[in-house]
Amino acid sequence: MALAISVGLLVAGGTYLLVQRGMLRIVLGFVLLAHAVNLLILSAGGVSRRGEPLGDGPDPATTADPLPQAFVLTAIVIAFAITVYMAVLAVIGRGDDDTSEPSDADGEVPR
Amino acid sequence: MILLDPAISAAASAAAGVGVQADLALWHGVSTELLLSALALGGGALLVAAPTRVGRALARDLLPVTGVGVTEAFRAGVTALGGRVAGLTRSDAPTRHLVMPVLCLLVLAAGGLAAGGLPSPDPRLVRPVDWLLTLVVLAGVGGLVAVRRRLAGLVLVGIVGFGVTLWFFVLGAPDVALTQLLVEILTVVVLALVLSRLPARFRAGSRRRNLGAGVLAGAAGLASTFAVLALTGRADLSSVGGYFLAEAPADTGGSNVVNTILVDYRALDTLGELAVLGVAAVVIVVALDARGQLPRKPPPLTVRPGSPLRDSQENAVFGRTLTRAVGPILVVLSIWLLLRGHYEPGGGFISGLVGGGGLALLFLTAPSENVARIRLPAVALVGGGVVVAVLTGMLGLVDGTLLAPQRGYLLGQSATTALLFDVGVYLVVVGMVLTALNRLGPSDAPSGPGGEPVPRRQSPSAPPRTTGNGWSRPSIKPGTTRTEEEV
Repeated sequence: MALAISVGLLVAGGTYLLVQRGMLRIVLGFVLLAHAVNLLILSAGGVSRRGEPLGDGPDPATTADPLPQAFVLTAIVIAFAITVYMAVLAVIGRGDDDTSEPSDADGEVPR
Repeated sequence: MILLDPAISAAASAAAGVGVQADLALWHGVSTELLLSALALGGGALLVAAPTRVGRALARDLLPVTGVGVTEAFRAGVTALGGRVAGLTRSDAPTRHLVMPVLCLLVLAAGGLAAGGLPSPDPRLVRPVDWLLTLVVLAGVGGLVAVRRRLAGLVLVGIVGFGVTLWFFVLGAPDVALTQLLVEILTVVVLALVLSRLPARFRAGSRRRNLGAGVLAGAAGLASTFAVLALTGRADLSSVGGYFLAEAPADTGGSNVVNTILVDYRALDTLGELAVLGVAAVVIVVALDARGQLPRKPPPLTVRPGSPLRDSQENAVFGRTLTRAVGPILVVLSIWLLLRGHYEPGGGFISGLVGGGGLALLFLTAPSENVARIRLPAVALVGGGVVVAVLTGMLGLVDGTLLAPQRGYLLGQSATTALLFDVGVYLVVVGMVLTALNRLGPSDAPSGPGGEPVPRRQSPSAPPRTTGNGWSRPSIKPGTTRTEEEV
């Protein structure tokens, strides 16, 4: 229940930022959505067993499913790479993005 | 007739594929076939006898529509529909494109809700600490939605990240949590570099946009909450997961099951991921070389002249001293994490991120931006890492399978080529982080003499500080410097 609400909050915040103007808020929205999907994947492995899959012979009755964890670990690093890439897109934008001060938007759009 | 029956039966059976018994006769009685033949002959005779009258009858419109008309209308309709659908995203505005998947998901969710409804909540799935973490996430996300200053947004996205990190710890995923923690730190560093080239504030959206975004976000959040509730959380241990838990130590010699999945069982996935990281690093370099970056903005600080805060050289001294002590520790720590990854939380990704974090610390505490560039061949590190991983994978060909780790004994210690594979992972991650730091960090032109920040006056026509959803951002008291809040 709490996990589902957390995912819902992250998706809601991510969606809100995704449809704003300006690349940086879109980037932040993507970061939130990535968090949401990662939690969702872990949730798919079941949340009643929460033991760490470490050591010799972990008890399958109480240990968390290691497979979603491996997926999520990979997904986090890929999301990081994509975030950095999108952040780069935010600073190579010219006048078409939210890159000028709000107050001087009409006059000094760098081109 | 008796003579022909067998031959025709055989031919008909062969043609039809099933047994057919032909029964030829001159007169079968009044049958459907006879009537149809009579109709055809009669119609033909009519056409021959009175061609003009038949022609005139046919020239009139028999139906209100014609075949050509129907086809044409269908073609035009399909074209118009295609234009309508494509028109939804015929725009350069990212919003138009990004909204579509969300809308599709909402349709899916509505269908699912109508078809299945919600299951009853299961108390085994919730523990008290979960609610605390949900609160942390709520605080971060709520702030992030309302925030107007970009720097504050950066802090808030960090808060959300740490909330999610704690979630991973609570769900029994220490490796994932460590990775998330490190990625969070590095994300903040990289975004901070980007922020120095962007305005201090986000542009306030129009009321209409904010309202639409709020409605869409609320619906998407509700839909995903319901989806998670209905579809996940109850699963028993998957058979694959159970196999990994039971067999990983025997199969791979490692006791950190998640890491053995990454480098032993599903190494091809990891190799693909390395490729993604490598491509990202290359694209960053290419994009920045091709278009150049926006110029750096003056720092958004108003510092009194004569204040000790003005001298960046002096200010960095604590950081530099700290780095001198912490730097070597970080290097050793990252190697230690790399070596033990097969058995305890650690491994290529985590150690690479720790190494990247060390480089970031080195970068941030440099006395000026122009000496900050770390002279390691970043992209070559990425490429080298991929090559190491692929070559290690080739060793698996000894076994007949690509990427199968080989185990043996080295100096009396159990050793596995999975460690070499992890070294490849380490190099790629460090190279990727270094690429971002080196390319986004240094200023394109030297800043003011002595690196002095230029004071920036706050604009009198600042946008209203509330957004459509009623959240208000913390206001700055007039007269105080912004330094206290933002440094």
